[in-house]
Amino acid sequence: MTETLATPVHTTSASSPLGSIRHHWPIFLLVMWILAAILIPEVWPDAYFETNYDASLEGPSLRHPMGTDPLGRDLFVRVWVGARISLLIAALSRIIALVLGTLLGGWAGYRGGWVDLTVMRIVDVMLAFPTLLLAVALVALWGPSLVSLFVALGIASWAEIARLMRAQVLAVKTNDYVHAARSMGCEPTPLFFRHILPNCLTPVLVWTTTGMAGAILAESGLSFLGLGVEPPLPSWGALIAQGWDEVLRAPWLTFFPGLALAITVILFNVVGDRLREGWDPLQKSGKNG
Amino acid sequence: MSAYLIRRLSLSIFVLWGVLSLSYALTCMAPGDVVETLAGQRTDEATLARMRERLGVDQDPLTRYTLYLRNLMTGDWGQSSRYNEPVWSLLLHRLPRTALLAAAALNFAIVAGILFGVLAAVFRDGWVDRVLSLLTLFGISAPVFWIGLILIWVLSLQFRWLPPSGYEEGNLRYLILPALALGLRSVALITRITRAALVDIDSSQFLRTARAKGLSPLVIYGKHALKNAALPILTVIGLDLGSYLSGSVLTEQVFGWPGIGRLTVDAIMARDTALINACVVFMAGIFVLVNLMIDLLYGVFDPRVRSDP
Repeated sequence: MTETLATPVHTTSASSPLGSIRHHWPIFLLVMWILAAILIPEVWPDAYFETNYDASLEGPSLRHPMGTDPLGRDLFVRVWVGARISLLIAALSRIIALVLGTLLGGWAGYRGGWVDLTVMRIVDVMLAFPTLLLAVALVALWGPSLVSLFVALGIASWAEIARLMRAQVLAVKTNDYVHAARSMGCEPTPLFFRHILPNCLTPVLVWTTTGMAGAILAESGLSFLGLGVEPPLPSWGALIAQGWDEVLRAPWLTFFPGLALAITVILFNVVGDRLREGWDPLQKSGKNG
Repeated sequence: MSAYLIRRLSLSIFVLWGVLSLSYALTCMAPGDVVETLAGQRTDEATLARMRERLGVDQDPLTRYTLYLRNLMTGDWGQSSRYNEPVWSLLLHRLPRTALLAAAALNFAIVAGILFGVLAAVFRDGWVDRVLSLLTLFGISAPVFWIGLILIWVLSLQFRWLPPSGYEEGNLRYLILPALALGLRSVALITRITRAALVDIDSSQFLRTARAKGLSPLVIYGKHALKNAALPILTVIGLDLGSYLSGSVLTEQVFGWPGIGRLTVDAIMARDTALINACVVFMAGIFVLVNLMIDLLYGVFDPRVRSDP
């Protein structure tokens, strides 16, 4: 590891405006992608629920860039509405995981002792519980809906954040400024929220970006199993499952939703990697920029 | 070492108990009457009462929980309400199939992943490396069930090389596609970590010696460097085994593979309480066991770990 520090690995970093754009293109692309998910369903001439039996199972064309499904609905707009739903569920589930994980993990690391022991044993149990199965069980329990999907996905994945957060707090709380604040009479609760928590958040937020990728994949798995949002609302997993029924006549119905899903997950993964490099330049050594 | 082993073992047992209790609580909270779902609507009250007594659902949850735990200790995992068979025999029947699928996928992942990783490290920053890094990104990001469907579409529907789905005892042709789909994500992960680990130890003394001896890059990386890169690779494989369990749920669904993954989903959909709990604990058990084994394997690959408490 020490050798990599000596070699100049930062040659591609943001020294010029052009280099900056080149370096930040994944973030730029991700923002464009999210904007597209918000805007395209608004401006596209077809609505996601609009059926047209004269245009059933048409191949990709200029009018329908991804073809149409058996009910003649335009797949392009359905894929983009699916993007909205996927992104929304993933983001809300990350917020739940972030709040639960940060507070519980932070509390464990800050208080230590029996609190730490109890919380971390719960974390151990949660990590051993198969994530997808926990989400499937929770959604099956509450009935499939948008709310139960993001709550289930959030509950199924807070433990990793808690573990990361605890490690961060353990490292941060030995800093001099924490001792200084305490010796000046800062109460434990404000000490935690004002001085410790903000200094632990960077890696946790980076993890959340990569976690978006995982949440999107998990949501698609759930909706593929038939536990997604209620039809006619489209979600990627359900679109793929429905498309597969017509695979012999219309393979594009299976292909395009999965491609959109893969691109979205790739973008979140790449942006997560970039953010991690920014936070911990040592990680750069293993990757090519 | 033995104190460490005892601590790890007791933690594992605690974790399994926790998973079991969580799963039990979840199945208890399920709304609706299991018995009425089972018996149908036109069953008279006496039959319902008899079924309740037989299934033990007329007692309060805590009594049932302690009874359930006591039965587990004696090896009685309960009766599946859907299949009307002991849970244990169902699991044992399905286990070899999932194990076969996972083992095939794992072997494929290790062989292909290390091969690609070594190639990427040898031709670092060349076009081989760039193509591989794009492919691994795709492999990590694309959903396993979609990759499975695309594989079926290409290899069985277009080229008709392999059966699209199903299972036949002893016929390995059915195994190839699901194993490819399930293993692909791991191939990508192992490729990445192998490359990173090899690049990391690139400037160490023993590699300089190997180069000075005039060995070819493939021997240097494939033999000398790889042995020292074993630890991170092993860690990634261990961490990724959890995704095999989730992956097997979806892969078995796509390929009609009658293993534990499909059994679990069917059990959840049918609210088959005993079967759900057993499946979940079983999967968690595999996860815990594998992680334990990985921890112990560290000692084999890196003798320095052994002396640590």
